[in-house]
Amino acid sequence: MAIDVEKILRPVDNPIPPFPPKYMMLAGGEEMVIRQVGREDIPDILCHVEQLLHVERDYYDVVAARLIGELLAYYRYRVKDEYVLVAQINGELVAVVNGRLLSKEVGMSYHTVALRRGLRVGAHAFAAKMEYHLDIIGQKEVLIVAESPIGFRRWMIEYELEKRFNMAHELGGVPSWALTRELFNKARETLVVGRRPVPKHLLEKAQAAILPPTDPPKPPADLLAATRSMYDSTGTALMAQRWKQEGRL
Amino acid sequence: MREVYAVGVGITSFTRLEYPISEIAAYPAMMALKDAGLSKVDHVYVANMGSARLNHQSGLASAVVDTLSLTPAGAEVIENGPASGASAIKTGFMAVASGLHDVVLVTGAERLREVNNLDATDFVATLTHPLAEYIYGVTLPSLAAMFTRLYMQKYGVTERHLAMVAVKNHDNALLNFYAHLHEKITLEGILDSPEAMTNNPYVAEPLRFFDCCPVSDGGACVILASAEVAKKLKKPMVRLAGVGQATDSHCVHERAEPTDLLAVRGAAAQAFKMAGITPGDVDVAELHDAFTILEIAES
Repeated sequence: MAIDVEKILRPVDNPIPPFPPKYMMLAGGEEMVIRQVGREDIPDILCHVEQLLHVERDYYDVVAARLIGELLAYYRYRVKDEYVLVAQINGELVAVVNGRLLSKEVGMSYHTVALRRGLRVGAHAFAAKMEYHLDIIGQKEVLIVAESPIGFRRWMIEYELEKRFNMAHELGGVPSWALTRELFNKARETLVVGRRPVPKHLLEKAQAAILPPTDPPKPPADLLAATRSMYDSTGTALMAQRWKQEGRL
Repeated sequence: MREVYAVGVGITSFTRLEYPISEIAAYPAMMALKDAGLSKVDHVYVANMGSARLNHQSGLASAVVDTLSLTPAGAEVIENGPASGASAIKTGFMAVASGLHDVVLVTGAERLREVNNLDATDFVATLTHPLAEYIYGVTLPSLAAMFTRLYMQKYGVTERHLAMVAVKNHDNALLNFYAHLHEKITLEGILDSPEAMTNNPYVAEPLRFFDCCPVSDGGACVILASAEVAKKLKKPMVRLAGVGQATDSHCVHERAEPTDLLAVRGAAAQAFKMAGITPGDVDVAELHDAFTILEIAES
């Protein structure tokens, strides 16, 4: 008798309510839409995340590599109960956040990647992700880790996360931190924003196409600068190379 | 007193620079030397506040001179808090004007982002009086916030006025390659929209996020020379027409009128007098400070 291996390999997703899209105004006056995307949208996102593999700054390279794996796993049915939200400005992709349900009551936050720096794009997208877990799906807490110091400041410090060090996070097996419903309620007034429903013209623009980021994070001129500077006691050659490339020497 | 000319300048981008502090000070100096067409100088002044404590590098001036291969030029660090850069330029000016030296290199650098924001804020707070201010938790943002409150009460300045300064300065930064932040902001986005309080939260009420400067790494350099040297270099002659410096009481609460920046007023008066001009003769003024309220108060 033939065995359908795919049926064995493919996890069965639990039904979860969709994320209702929302929008907000950024400091620059632009309106950003945050909405959930499905598997069919993943190829349009992957090509923009791939560029970040080469950005050796603020752990963009590590995060991009892992996020590509997570998006591919979602696209090709190799992860259970994952979801993906995107943030767009006039259709332009400015942030991607994702996560999954570890259990009915506990969420597992995966990644928050801002493709436009500044203006709290990533912070707003992260808040939307937490809102999804705690308000919309109705979970009790979300397990979180950060790869970069920026992430640590944004999540662990700003949300005053609780330690769950007995729980290894799926990202690298490092000790987890947790955002509980109580902590989220405390942060809600200052960190969680957004208006619903999204005006028709904004939503249609976002849904029409996932456009490439216009000002994505860029790699340093010397791709290994961040790594080398940790071991280079003078930095002279590196900095000279960088500034020469920038036409300043 | 001899006339003093700026004959070369250099600057880094202001951002996070993952390089030794001596390099951050040396590179703008290399640019300035190239700009001036010089390969040696008589003396080097290095403006810096945090090198020894934050970057584990004391004796920074010697390190910079060696990095630049300018030995055996004399060198010293000028540490005067956030006024270190201006103090170093004034010291260089005095050295040339007095005839002690013909060419001096004045470079300044900070690498504050080597430590986290809390440590950087604490370090800068060591400017305050240790017993009358610091031990009560005073930081520069909180001092500036109290100053703002007084200014609001006395002159009717509002948060909208502060935000207008931030919007204007961010617009200017879009035109400046070396600026730390290249982000357009709007009054609606940081003040009026339902999301404004999250986009632009209070740091020390009434000062908000966009009222405060970011913590940056960076450096800048100027080479000062006598008229005789400057003429030989065949460059546009940029003369330093006047300098001034003044101080006020260490503790802000001991000042008779804390909203009146007497030190700024006194320093400016000295510089105008030396230059033989009045404020009405100035076409472009660049003001230094870390908070929007100070631009309003100083202008």
